Amino acid sequence: MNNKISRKDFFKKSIKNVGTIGAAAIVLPPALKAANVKELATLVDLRKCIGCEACVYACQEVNESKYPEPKKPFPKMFPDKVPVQDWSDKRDETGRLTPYNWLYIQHAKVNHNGKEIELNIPRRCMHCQNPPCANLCPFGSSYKHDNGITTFNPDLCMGGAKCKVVCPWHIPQRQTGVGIYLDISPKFMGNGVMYKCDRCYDRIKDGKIPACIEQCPEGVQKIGFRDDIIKEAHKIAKEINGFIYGENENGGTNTIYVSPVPFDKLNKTIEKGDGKPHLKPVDDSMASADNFAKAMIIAPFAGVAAAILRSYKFISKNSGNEVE
Amino acid sequence: MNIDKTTGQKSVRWIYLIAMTFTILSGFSQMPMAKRYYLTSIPGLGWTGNYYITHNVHYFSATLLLIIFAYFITMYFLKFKHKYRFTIKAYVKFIVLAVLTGSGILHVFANLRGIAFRETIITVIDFVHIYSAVAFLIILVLFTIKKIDWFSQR
Repeated sequence: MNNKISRKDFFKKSIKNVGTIGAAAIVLPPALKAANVKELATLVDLRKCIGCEACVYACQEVNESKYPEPKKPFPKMFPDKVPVQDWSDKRDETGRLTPYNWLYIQHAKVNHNGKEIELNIPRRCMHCQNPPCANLCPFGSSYKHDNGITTFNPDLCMGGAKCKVVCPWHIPQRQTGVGIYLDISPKFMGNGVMYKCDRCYDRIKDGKIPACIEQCPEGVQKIGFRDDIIKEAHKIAKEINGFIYGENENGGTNTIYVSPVPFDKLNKTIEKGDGKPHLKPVDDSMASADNFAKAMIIAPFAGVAAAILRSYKFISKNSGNEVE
Repeated sequence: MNIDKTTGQKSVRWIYLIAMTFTILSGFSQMPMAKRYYLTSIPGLGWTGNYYITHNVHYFSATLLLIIFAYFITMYFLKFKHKYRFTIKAYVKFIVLAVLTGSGILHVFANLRGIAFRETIITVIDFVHIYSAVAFLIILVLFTIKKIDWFSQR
């Protein structure tokens, strides 16, 4: 008889037996419960992560009911080049982000100040302060909540994957064969539903903390008001001569990483690709939208002024005479 | 009746037509359709596949349209009201255009940093904008085919 147990099974069983009890015990501090008008952020201290993946399995455990259940065969889409993205038979994949795996651990091995350092980096949606996925979704199925969480509505999402393209880290992942597109025009429009970390918005609503934070045996993550998290990140960074990622990227996110190693060095060594986000600096992708909005306020006044000027010129040029 | 020739507003009409064309094209390209349906393969339209470019083009051309609408409405009341009147069909176009413009402005507002509308509101704004855009395109085509004028002489 094979008595060996995989790490995955160990954590799954542990989480089921202990996590359920633990989940009931760990609640949001009272001040954070009423955080509907202030943004919450998470601090990720990379010194502490041992890569055990307890957070990954906790995420899968609590979010299993939200996972897509596609019906096969999928309707044929037009034209043929439209990609079918089916992860329903690969639910155990934890080496990248998928519709069934919203959090995964990246591994980095760098040489810094003469020392070789190995770091494990939990990666998921950054929950940007001004998320392009929410702003640019053409069907209004992505929202940024007052508390800083960005979620997708699986009942409205058409799976066009625009959110994935405009996300600087290409976080959202598509599952073909589910969603409203099946009822509208599955051959010509849509392709499924997009999925990503929703920072356990339903648990936060019930006064609990996200599962990945709760289950971490090393206390890698912490959740709090953004201002407090930023202060703590800077305090840690100062203590360890460390570096911060996520504070200013894409105009500011609500996921703040602190690392003893510069992020450009980490970015060079991590495995990047589809479902495996980078750690590069990111400019504010929505900056131009803010500038154009200011121009739009002035626009009608400019039009009225131009008309008045034109009428005045017309009147003074043809004083008293009607012109055809 | 060609109102532009009579009123010397031909240049404004050209700006309006160009701005409207780019607004419609960039608006359509907000949906993930341009690449799927080979619009990006047409020479000169490769930009329709870049969501940030189409977003900026849409905002820019919509700003131009706001200037033109304000200009036109002001000119009508200052100069042409005593001579011309809008047809009923023009009012239909105005209403649809007003809903389209209003929902677009709300969308711009919702996209601003620090602004977070409720989920339902976001969805309603998006759908009103899409449906009024489709309605406007249908009216545009109908008015053009049937040569329906905006104005009649008093």
